[in-house]
Amino acid sequence: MTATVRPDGRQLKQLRELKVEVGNLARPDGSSQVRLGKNMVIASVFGPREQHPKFLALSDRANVKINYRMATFSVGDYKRSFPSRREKEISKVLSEAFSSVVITKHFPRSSIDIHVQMFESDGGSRTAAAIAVSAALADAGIPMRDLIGGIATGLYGDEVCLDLSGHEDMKGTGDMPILYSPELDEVSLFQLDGKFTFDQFKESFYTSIESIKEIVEVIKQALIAKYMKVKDEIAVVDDEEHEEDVQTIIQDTFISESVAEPTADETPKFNSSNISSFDPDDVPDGTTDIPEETVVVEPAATELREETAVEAVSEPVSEVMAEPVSEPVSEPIPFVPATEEAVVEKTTEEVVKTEPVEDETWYEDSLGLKPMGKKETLSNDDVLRDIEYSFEEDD
Amino acid sequence: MADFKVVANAIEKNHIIKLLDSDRRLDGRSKSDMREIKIETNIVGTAHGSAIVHLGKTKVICGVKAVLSAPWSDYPNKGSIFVGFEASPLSSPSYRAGPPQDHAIELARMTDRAIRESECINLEDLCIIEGEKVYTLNIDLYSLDDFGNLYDACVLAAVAALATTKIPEVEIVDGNVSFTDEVRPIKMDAYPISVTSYKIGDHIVTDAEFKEERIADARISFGTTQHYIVSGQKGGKGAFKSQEVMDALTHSIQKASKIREFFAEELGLDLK
Amino acid sequence: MTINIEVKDIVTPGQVIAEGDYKAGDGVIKIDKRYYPTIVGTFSYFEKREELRVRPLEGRYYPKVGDFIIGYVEDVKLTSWMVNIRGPYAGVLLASNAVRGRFDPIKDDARRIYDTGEVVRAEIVSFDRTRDPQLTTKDHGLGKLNGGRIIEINPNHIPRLVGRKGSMISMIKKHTESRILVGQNGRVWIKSDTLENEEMAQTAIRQVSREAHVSGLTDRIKLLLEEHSNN
Repeated sequence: MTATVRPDGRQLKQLRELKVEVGNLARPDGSSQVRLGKNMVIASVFGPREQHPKFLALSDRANVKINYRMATFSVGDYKRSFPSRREKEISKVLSEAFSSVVITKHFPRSSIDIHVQMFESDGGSRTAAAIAVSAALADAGIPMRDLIGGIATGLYGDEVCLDLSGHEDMKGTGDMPILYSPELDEVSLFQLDGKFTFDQFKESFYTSIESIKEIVEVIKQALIAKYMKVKDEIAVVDDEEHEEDVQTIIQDTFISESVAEPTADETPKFNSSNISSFDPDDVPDGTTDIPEETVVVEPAATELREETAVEAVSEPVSEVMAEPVSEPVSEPIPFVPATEEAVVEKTTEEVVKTEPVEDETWYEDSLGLKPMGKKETLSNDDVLRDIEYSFEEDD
Repeated sequence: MADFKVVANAIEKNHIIKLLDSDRRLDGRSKSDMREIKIETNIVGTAHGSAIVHLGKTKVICGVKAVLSAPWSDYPNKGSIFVGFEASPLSSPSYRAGPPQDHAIELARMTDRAIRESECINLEDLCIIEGEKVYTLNIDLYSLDDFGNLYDACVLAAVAALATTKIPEVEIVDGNVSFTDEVRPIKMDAYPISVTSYKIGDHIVTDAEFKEERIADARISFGTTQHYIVSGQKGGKGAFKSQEVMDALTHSIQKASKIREFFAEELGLDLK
Repeated sequence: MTINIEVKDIVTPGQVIAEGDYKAGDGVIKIDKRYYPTIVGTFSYFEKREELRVRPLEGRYYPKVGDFIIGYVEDVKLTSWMVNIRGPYAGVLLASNAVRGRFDPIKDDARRIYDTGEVVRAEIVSFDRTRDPQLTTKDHGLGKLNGGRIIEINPNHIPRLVGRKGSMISMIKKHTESRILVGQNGRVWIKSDTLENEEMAQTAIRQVSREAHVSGLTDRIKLLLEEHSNN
């Protein structure tokens, strides 16, 4: 085995330098930049977001759509700017490869759009692109069963060489790009061109797989590095109690703020003509006093709540509830992206949580306000008055 | 979440205008400030010249590729340039893969005009055999991160890439022209810089970021060199008062000269 | 039954967290008796329920029934509004969930109630895998929002911004004399009498979001706010 076989002086089973950086772009939900030797590729992920056009939406899972492009200056000759057949094919096989690891059933009817652009290419560009996509997906927080790594192994000078460079690919007699997930032991992309004997194939295949384990490690390190700077100090607020609190506290904030909020209809409608004359601070006096203390739910306050709630329930609430206007909302089937067991668990939790009867009556009582809940009905006159009021504001 | 047509909401619009009333911006600048500019050059080995320009968080990459071609028949002794821009779907949730949209074509043509009309590239220098072979410079721009005002970022990236472009020398054997491994820089006679002003309500702001850009009524860009105004484009559905146009121009010239000095320092250019 | 990772470690997909018999919570998947994270995040273990969980560090808002959110009206239909809730699906606000009483599309103009570009605070009343999230603005504390400013933060940082028993958010409110609404979709509305106070609240909230997974955050924010109050 001689190292001199390869033009760049590498060993036969030696990777080129691989650099992975995540979160390098600001606009996308996730992004990455990968340099594999001279290959330079940037990937960005948008989504899961609404599927456009709608008819492409899948009712039970998300679409994973990868758009692989090469810059005009990314190859030796000047490349035309419109997508070539090669780019379209690679987009397709990459999309399929990643659909197999992304947990698409968590996001039915939505679309996960991934754009990957080669700015410099020098052999093995589709596998470099796959590494970038893998890192960008993880950076975007898209749930995946495993990370994907990829590499091309091929034949150059009658030897099985790992990670063919552009020159080796051109002069060599075979090329075999593979995408593989080490933990799942799943090959998600496989292409081959050239003339391999059975033994050469076997050697190439297992060489690739071994090297992909290294590549995936590099991706993991890049992901961790983004948050690693502060590793020793990590302390996430992390107990179950708190999680349930957050919901209540946020709900309370919404309600306490609404006390201070002027009636919505005092502000003019949003359009470009009156925008500059409109001063959002121009609200009636006395509206800026905010009852701060309503936010903090002290244990004492909670007790008080329960007491008043009991009292309030005994009052004739039934009058208010006479004619429900809106149709009773059917019991929501909460969608929980987790395992089957977790779904069952969550359902029971949700049911408990969505019983706000006590809360409503409490607010009615202590703030002297009427709840405008779903149970309340108003006459047609009230509706008309509301609408007339909103007509006035435009003048 | 209709990512593709993100509408500015009323609160955001009011908030931006309220800040502008006291000469403030979302990112702490004053109305006339540009964002910080950063230049990285020689990014791409396969291109003859390349640069990434950061204008605040906006990022644009430019690659220059020289190819051999026949000259235009009316200019037999001049090379040619071509500017392309792709609103890469990498860079913004609102861009989609597919054929170039109108705004991308406008941007490419605006950049093309600033480069071409400034005569910053000596086209005669690009001639190899008069009437037969010339260099064509393909200047291709891709947005990487669209955080607003791609107009100025594109011109900056193109100039930075051109200033560092090294085209291959040629050898002529029996009338056949081919590239050699030797390279030489191209001659640049001027450095066009574009500065765009946006009209938001009654305010004129320089170099809007994307949130300001999407509520702006109109924008006006001026490309200027050391001595001339070489390109201009008004865009957007609103309009400028005549005085506002003059003010924007004066401001553009001032800003451009500062940016040019910065460029000269960063890239070691010789400003005449 | 072994757990390979320490609690609060950052984990990535493809890393074995545990082997044996546990409950796979959010962000964890079980493949052949092994447990893997599906996202990059911090690992946590709930001993009582023997549950493994990974809390995301990045990721979009995913709607949940009962969430209080701040949405932007993007489209007005005859009897409904399409609302951008920053999630994978547009929120649907039906007139019956927005107006008291009967809404007659022949007489009443939906645009008069909520117009395109307006901001609403809403609650998600129903959502499952076949339907887009349905919103309501009819309950108390919901409706149109005016003035102030809105900043967007990572929705995964909301628990941190609220703090234990709401301590963090009320501290920011107190020191900056601001009114702050935290939408569970990561949109935070701030309104104050002066731009300075608003700006301060914004700076504090941004810092909380930036350093959400760093300890000692409360003290730093407190210091920041006290400096502001003294000036």
